Amino acid sequence: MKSWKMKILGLAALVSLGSLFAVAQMKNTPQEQKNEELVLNLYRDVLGYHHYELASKYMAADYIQHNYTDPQGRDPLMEHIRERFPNPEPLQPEMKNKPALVITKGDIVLMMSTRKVKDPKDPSKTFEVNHFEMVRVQNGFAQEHWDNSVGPAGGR
Amino acid sequence: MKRYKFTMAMGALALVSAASLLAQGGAAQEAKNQQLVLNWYREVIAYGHVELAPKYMADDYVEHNPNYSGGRAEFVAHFGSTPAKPIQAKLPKQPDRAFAKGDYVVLVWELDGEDKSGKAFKYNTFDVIRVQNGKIQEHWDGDSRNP
Repeated sequence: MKSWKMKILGLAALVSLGSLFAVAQMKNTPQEQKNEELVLNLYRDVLGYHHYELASKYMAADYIQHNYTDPQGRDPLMEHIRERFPNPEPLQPEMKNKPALVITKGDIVLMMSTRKVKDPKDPSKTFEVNHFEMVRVQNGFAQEHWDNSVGPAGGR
Repeated sequence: MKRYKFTMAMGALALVSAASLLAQGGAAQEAKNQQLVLNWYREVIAYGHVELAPKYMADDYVEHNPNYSGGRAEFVAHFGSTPAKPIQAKLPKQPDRAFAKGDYVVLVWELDGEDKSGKAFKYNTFDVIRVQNGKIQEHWDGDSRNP
């Protein structure tokens, strides 16, 4: 009997250590994991490979847009993007532009992408510029969107 | 067999309580990290008290903003170039959204802009901060290089 207790205690200690590690490692809850995957798949299939027919699988019809240059609502946004990118590309398991960092907290998914820009004063040098995309998920659909584009005002 | 079942049940109970305690510990640490970042942002950045940089920022801090990229010295030189103001209890402008996850703290700001035709519009900026061992270790934002 003693050895059983020891084994159970050992197991409990192990699992506790494991969850401690998970917290330090920014582990998602199951719901956060679902939200994160939904948003990454939306960016991969619809915005990356331009499969607009899949938009309704990922996005709420009344999608709220905080980007000043983009229209409100899912279907008007799809039309807007289709004008620029009319041709879908074959779907791939990997995203076209994988974000450098994804942070999911509750219903919010934040993606950060980093690109290197040539220094206009010295083309042999580059500097980093980050782009952010943030999506709020509601009832299993992307509901609201923010980014750091400033469009015609002199943008990034 | 009865005792075995009892031990198993107690073990499972201990396990679940340990896990939830640890999850609470994670949330408490995230709240601490967020408070650290907000205090740093208020005292060092908003009110310009760069002499407090070592209190908040790691010695080997990494800055990714292309206008003052490098370490803590570059950060201090940049924010120290304008005179400090008396520290206030509140930020002049609160972030519109702040959240912490693991080692990261995110600040989201909604700002007012004006386009070329003079039309007002709203836009967002983001700050991502990584905290390590109770100090600010790394910072990213969306700035491009100033002309």
